[in-house]
Formats: sequence, C-alpha cells, structure tokens
Amino acid sequence: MSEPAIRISAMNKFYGTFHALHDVDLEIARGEKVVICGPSGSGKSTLIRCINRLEEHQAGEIEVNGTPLDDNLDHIDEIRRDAGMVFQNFNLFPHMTVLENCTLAPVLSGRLNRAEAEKTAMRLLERVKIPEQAHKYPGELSGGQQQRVAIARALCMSPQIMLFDEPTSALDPEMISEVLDVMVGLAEEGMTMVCVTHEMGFARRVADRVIFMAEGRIIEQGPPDQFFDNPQNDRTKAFLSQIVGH
Amino acid sequence: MTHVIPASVPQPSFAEAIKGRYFSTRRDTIVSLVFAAIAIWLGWSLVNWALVNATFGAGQGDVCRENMHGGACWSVVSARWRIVLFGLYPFEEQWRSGLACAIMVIVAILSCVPWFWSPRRLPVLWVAGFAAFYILMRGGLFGLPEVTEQNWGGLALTVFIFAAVVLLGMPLAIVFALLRRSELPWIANTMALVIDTIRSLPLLSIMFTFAIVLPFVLPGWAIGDKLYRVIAGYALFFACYQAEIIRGGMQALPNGQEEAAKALGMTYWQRIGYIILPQAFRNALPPTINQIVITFKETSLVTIIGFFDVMASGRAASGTAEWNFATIEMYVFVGLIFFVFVFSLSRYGAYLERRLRVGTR
Amino acid sequence: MRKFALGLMATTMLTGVSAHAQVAEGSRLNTVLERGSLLCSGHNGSFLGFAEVDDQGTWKGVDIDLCRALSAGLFGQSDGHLEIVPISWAQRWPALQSGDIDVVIKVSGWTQSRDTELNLAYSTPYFIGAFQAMSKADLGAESVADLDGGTLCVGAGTSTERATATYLETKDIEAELLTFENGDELRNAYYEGRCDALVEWAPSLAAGRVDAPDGADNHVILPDVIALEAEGIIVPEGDADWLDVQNWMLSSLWFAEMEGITSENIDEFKENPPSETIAKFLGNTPGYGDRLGLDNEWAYNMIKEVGNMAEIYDRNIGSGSPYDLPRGINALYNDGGVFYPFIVD
Repeated sequence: MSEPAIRISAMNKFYGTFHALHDVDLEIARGEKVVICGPSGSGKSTLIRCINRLEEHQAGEIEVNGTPLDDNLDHIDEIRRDAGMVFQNFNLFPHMTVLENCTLAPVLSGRLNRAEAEKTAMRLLERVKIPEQAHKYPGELSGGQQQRVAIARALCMSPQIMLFDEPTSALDPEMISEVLDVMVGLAEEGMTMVCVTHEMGFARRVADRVIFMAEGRIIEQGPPDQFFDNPQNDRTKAFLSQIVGH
Repeated sequence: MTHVIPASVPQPSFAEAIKGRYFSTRRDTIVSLVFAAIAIWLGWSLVNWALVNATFGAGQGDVCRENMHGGACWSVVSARWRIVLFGLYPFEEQWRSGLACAIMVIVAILSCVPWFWSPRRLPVLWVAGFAAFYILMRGGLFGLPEVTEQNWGGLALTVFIFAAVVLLGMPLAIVFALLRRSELPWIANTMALVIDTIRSLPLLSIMFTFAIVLPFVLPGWAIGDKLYRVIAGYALFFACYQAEIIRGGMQALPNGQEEAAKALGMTYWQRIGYIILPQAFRNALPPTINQIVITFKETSLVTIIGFFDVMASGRAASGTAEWNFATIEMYVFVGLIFFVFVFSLSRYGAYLERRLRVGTR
Repeated sequence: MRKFALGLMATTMLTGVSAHAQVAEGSRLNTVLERGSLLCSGHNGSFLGFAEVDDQGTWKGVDIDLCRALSAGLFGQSDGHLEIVPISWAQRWPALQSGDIDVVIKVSGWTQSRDTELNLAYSTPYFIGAFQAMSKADLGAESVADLDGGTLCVGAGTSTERATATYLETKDIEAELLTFENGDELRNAYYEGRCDALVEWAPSLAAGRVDAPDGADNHVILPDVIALEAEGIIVPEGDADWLDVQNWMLSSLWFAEMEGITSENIDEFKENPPSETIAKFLGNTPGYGDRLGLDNEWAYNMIKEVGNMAEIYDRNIGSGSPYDLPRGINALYNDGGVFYPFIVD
C-alpha cells in the first residue's frame, strides 16, 4: 500500500485573527481525483493553496508525496515540483511566448535541457490541442486557449499531482468545455487531481470523491453518486439545491 | 428589404479636415489667424536671427560684433567648440577625448540592439566600453601621455559621469527595491528610511558631501579621486529614486505572476530575474526613461564642485573678452547638445515601449 | 620628523647650500615641494581677466599668472609643475582645507568673517577692486545719486549686493535693487534695459562694457566707489611659512616693477646688478630665497617667466588686453596707486 499523495492532518490556518481553516483532515491517494466545492469564503481555495505553500498553515501537518511541508526550503521546492497548479486567472507570463512559458521552469530547474524541454512542450501542446500557437504570446490567445496552455505548462514539469483552483470560473461558457475535456483526459490517464470547481457535471464524470466545505471545515465528502444523489448534511443539501442544473 | 451598407465611411479630405478643425466658426477663424500670425512672426524672427543674418565662420569676431542685434554669431561656436566638447583636455590630445566620447555613444547605441540583450553580452560590452574610455582618456599606456581626471572635461566628461552613474545606480536600484520589498520588517523598514532620507536631500548637497566632506572622514586608501567619489554619491542618489520607480513597477504586477512562478518551483532569484523584473521594468519604463533623462541633465551640477562639464565648458568658451557678447549662442549650442542626447533617449524609450508591448492586448 | 627631514633634503638639494630655513613640518610649502607640483585654484567657467580659457584650452588671467609665478618661484619653471584645478566660488575654502588646492588665488575679498571664522589667513592684498555702477550714457547720470528713483541690477547674495544696499541707505538714495543669480543674466538684464544701472566689481564691469551690444561708448562707469574690496591670497590659518612665501612673492613682483626689472631685461640685470640689493634679489648672492625655504634664484625664475606686476596687469586686464582697464589705485605708490614692495635686506 503506497503512501498517500497528499496527507493533511489537523491543519489550521489563520489570517491574522480570522480562523480560515479548522482542523482539516484529508488524505488523497495516488491516482485519486478529488473535487472540492462549497460556497465562496469556505476556504476551499485556501486549502488547495496551502498544499503548495502559496499560503502558510499555522498548525497541523501537510505531507505531499511523503515530503513534509514545513519551513525547509528544499522541501517546499520539491513539493512545488511534484504538484502542478492551474489558476483561475491562468497567470501565463505575458512577456514570453507560449513555448517559452512552458519550457522556462523545466530548463531553470535543471530537469531538462532546452531541446528536450521544447520537445516535451510541443508534445504537451499537441495534447491540449493547440500546437500551432506555440510561438504566439499569451495576449494573442483566447481565454480557453490560455488556460490550456497553463495546463500544458504545469504538465511540463512532470508533476505527480495537479491542483486546479477554479480553472473555468473566468472563462466564457463556450470555452469551458474545451478546458474540461483536457482535464477529463488527464484524469483518464491516472493523474492525481485535486480540483476546486463549480462544474458539477465534470465532478460527476471524473471525480472519485467530492468534498463539500463551508466556513473552513470539511462538512461532507463521498463518491459523486452518493454525494449528489444522497447528501447527508443539511448545508450540503442547501448548497446543492442552489447549483442544481449545472 | 435589403440594406445598402456603404463600402466605407467617407473620410474628410485634408482641406476639409483643416477647415473643420481651425476655421469652423468665425471666432475660431479669428483665433486661428491670430495665432498663425504670431507663430509665423516668431518663426521668421528665429530663422532670421539664427540662420539668415548669422555669421558662421571661425575668424569672424568683428563681423559678429557689428551684426550683434541682427543675427546670431555662430562664429563663437566655430572658434571655441573644442572647449565645449573637450573641456581643458590638452590640446594635442583632444582626439583621444573625442574618440572616447564616440566610443561611449556607440556602446550606448549598441546596447539598444536586441542582439546584445543577454546576461553575458551586455556586461561585456559595457566593461569593454568603459575600459576603452578610461585608457583613452587617462593614457599612461600604449605610449599615450597621461592625462589625470582633473583635466577631463566638456561633453566627454558629462557622458562619462552620466554613463557611470546609470550603470552603477541601476543594479543598486534593483537591490534597494528588492530589499524594500523584503518580508523581514526590519530590513524593509531600514531600507525605506535610507531611501527616503537620501531622496529628501538635495542632489547638490550629496555631491558636495561626497566630493569635499568625505575625504576627512574616510581612511586614506578609500578616498580615491574626486571624480569617482562624486559618481558614487550621484549613483546612490539615482539608485534611491530608481528603486521606488522599480518598486512601483513591481507593485503593478498581478500577484498571480509570482504565484504561478512559485507553483512551478522556481527559486526566488529565478522568479525575480525571469518573471518579476522583466515585467516590472516594462511597467516602469516611462518613469525610468524620465529619470534617466533627468540624470543626464543634472550632471551639470558637478560644475559647482569644480568639474569642467559641458555647462562650465560652455561658460568658459564664451567667457573671454573676444566672445563675451555671444553667451546666448553658446548656451544654444550647449542646449542643442543636450537636446540631441535627451531626445535620443526619449525616442529610444518609446521604441522600447512599442517593442515590449508585443503580445499584450 | 621624517617629513621635516625630507623637506630639509629637498630644500638642500634645491639650494645647494645648507638651508637656513626652519620650515615647519606640517607646512603646505613642504607638501608642495615634495609633490613637485602646485595645485592652484582656477574657475569652473570663466572669470573675465582673472581666470579664463583661451582657444587652445590654456588658462590665462591675473590670478592664473600669479599661480604660474608661484610655481616658477618654487620649482624654477611652472611647466610641468602647475595644475590649475577648476573651483567654483563656493568651493574655495573647502577645497583649500581638504588639500584639493594648495592656495586660493581667486580674487577673494578680505572680510572679517572669512578671516576669523573660517581658519583662513590672508596675504597682503594684491588687488583693490571697487564696486562701481555703470549706466547708459544717454541717461546723463554723473553719480549714483543721479539714479535716485531708478533701479539697479546687482548679483544676488553677493557682497556687492550688501555693499550697495548699505551705500544707498547711507547716502539716502531711493533706488530699487534687482538681483540675479547668474552673471550672464545680470549683464543681459542691464543691456535689455530692465534697470538703469549695473553694479559690479570694477574689472568685471569694465570687461562687460567692452562687449556692450550697442558699443562701449554708450555706457559710462560712474566714479562713485560704493565699496572697496581688498583681494588677497589665502592660505590655511597658522601656516606661517606658506604665508611668507605668498607675501614675498607679491613683494618681489612690486619690487621688480619699481626697479624697472622686466621679463625682457632681467638677464641684463642679473649679469650687471646695479646694486647689492638687486644682486641679492636676483640670487647672485644668497639669502633671498633660502630664508623662506626656497631656491635663492626664485625671484629671478618667477619674473623671467611671468614678468613684474605691471606686466601681469597689462597682459591680462590692462592696455595689452581687450579690457584696457586703467590701473588706477592698483599701481605702485609712486604711480598714483597704493602698492609698494617690502624691504629686501
């Protein structure tokens, strides 16, 4: 039984005096796909950002791929390389071409040399179905294309875990499906994924587990069928009834 | 029912545009005519003074005097331009000063060419340029007679001080900006205090302190030549202003940029060097060019500390019995020199902005 | 001790005889002799008649010639032993204190504050400059009192401004003072007609008059002496030996003028000195130089190179120059002036 990809135990996070995350316990196995949902302010983004140290937790433990997440910079760097992240606002580097966006990190970290990095990048760009945009600048692409580039960029580092922070929330409706398709493809290849999203259709299709969070706590979790069709908690029911139809 | 869409909206002809803009109402017409008359009169007077009635030849001092109210006396420039460009550099060696100045200018122009924009080529270019400048001006090697910094002057000196200040000050500014942004409060606050203190001091007093007071305070080996002390002081001043400009550029960056770089596992210096600074500089380009232009013009302050920069040279050039009446022409000449440099700097800034805007909406 | 020994050796080598001089150890004289060159004050720009730059970039002027005289006196000739350091007015004293220059020969007026508060010591004055007013000839003014009710242009923050204000007050003259920072601005303002008269230091006034746009004859310098400023050579306070050199340099230049010794005929005088005093003065017999710590032929070297005081004056601001300033009170006492040499014994 291999160790879990991500293990969070008794984690608490504060913003000053505001208690953002309360005693979070969570284990995500390798290859597992987890979707986290909940109302805004529930701490779901905070949780996922704590995993790769974009936010710092004050109490409890986080382990990614066996590496503990503490103040040790080497640990942090290793965790960040193991876990790729895709942001709501894409965050592509606007002063570099698409190809350069993808090859920058692998080359700088020494993982690949330039030629290898470019090959890998082109392969991944093909996979997200936009190889022809390789030499364009992010400003010349549509939102959906940019997000797919962002996914390819994260994948260039060969992460074992992919974190998605509301990847489709900033997209026009007609572009959401192209991004979701890519994510489905990733899921089918066995990537460990933690996804904060409102796309419940995607959750149903792909997730092994759906987690509902509110006010900094995990309220309910379970496999999608059980979660969507038979929610236990009242809060969960209330939330689901609001987003029914998606 | 079909719509007939015109192939294009008819553009007004040139004459119509002028008429519409300047002569549409009677009042507009009158105002336009008055201003046109003033402009033409001023322009004609200027051309008359500066070109038509002017004397150009070097030996024409007497002709100039007779003509004093009629035309400009550019003879003063023909006779004394060497002083303006080279200051008090020994007469026979002035070709060295001219060559050194030209090298500096060429190096600056080459830095604008993108081929040189690599972390290796740019420093090599500038180090080579400075080395060539120093050897040429100073001499002592390759059979060139020695000329100490005391005698460097004119445009060559101005260009040297300016280039040295910007080259020293820019990396220092980046360091200051990064320290100011530090997460450790005592570093950030100390840096803020230092920056604000130096910025609030007049540049002249800083130059004076470095030039004249510091030798009393420093140990003998650290004193160095007055020229380099002044450059150090000025570079410090420049760095403080530029640090704030860079910091402003950094603050204009969306947080997500750094977060994405972090998420990709880039180290602090990689983030700073590849993601944050390039974008910060792009944001900060207009104020940076502004700051650089101001720095160029303010180099003339060194004349108070006894350096024979371009302004002092200009005054010395016209400050003799023969040419004392032609101070205006000399100031215009020096002004033109400044204009050429400053205008080139601004144009270059505009070029950079256009170039860096590629790919963004 | 070592410095003194070196200084002693240097002077011994220069004089070729055992030195009589007891030059103090920390004296600038020693510093200069050891260094082998004199750092003298120039100007950061141009001060007409006293420190200007010619087409070749060479310094010339009364103050410059005095620098050259000093250097020639110290080293035999100024070539290779003199460095003119461009100094602004404001920088005079700090540069002297910090050693950037060895001596300030830069028409510096002798004021009490400078003498007592700044650690400076003045030599005997070498130039008396009056502050005078110049007005347009067709105004018909014959003295400053005639300018009552008008405006006077004067340099901002200068001793000229203060002296003028005091003068107007004392003489009960109502006139407005217009001040300007920049010398060129000041002069131009007067020529443009913004004020009725220009008040400046006399030599600068005369120099400006030469270049009046409508001709020198259309301007008249009024005879009123608004104030008189004695200009001296300045060395650091407490350096008696260095000060002695300055004073005796000036005296030598006046002595030569009084005796009729010029740069042209000095060799004849040296071959056939008409008196014992002159023989000593020119170094034929020892004593004139080594008492000061200098070569005995120092006066000879000096005058051979720059001439006597009259020649210096004429060449730079007198009849041999475009300024053509009458020597007036700057001449020797037997010529209607106030200067005189000291006694050579």
